[in-house]
Amino acid sequence: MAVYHPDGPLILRLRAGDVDALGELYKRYKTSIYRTALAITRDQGAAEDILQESFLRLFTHAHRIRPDVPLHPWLYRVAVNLSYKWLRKQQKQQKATSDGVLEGLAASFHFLPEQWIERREAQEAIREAITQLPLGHRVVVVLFYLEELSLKEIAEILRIPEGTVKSRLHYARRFLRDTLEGRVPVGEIVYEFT
Amino acid sequence: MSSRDLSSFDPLDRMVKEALQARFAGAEPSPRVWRRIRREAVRQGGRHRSRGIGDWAWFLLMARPTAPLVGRDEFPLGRFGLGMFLFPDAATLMTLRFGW
Repeated sequence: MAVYHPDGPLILRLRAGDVDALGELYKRYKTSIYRTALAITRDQGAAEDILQESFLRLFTHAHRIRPDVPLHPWLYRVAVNLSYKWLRKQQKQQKATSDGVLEGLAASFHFLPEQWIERREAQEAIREAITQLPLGHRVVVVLFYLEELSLKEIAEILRIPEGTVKSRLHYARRFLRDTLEGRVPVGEIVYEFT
Repeated sequence: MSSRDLSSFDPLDRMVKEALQARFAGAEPSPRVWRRIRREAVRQGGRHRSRGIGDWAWFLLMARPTAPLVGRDEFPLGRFGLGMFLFPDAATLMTLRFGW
């Protein structure tokens, strides 16, 4: 089999159960996978668990991973799916204990004191607004803005059409603009994704 | 297209990107995550690659020494010693299993 991607030899070694190869791949991808999980879940412990589970799955399923293509889309996909799973579990638990978590978050956001125009607080406001996005949209925002992945790469990771990625980004931008308007100087839409 | 290609003058894109990167770009997992992964991988049957000895070790093992250094009789024994040094795991296994 032709191996022409730098991850390829390590994947072949993984198939033979080589833990050091797993260590090399971990060094290569741990930061991007961890921060993606962290940005989606906003929970450090959950992000570490997701990182751990992603690499253990890589180790377990190495024989099913192609050594001739980049590994990172596969890793992102696993991490995103695990993040979905974790968030859904959290939402169920929160629903059981308190039905008003998101409403409370939104309410606190609407009564912002004037000093929130300060940079750090404005950034926190944006991050809070991102957490109010539907999960599928939040993931696209994280992969696009934080990981700087292309629309095509995001489509490949999430296994959805590129047009759906564009429409999710468009919706997310509109939602963020509407939510942040008057609190953060977000300006006007100067282009469209669609 | 990625967010790297966005026009830098669009305030919303710039702020979303900055907000996410300010909080998460420098985030690193704690070292214990790798320790947990390694432990679990070993538990699942994973193994380390002969203590960091790479493929170059075979070339060292196969190389013939110059004549004055080693006599003909000592050559196989010397090779076995070198093999033990380079591949301790494999050599120990063979010694135990086949009584070498």
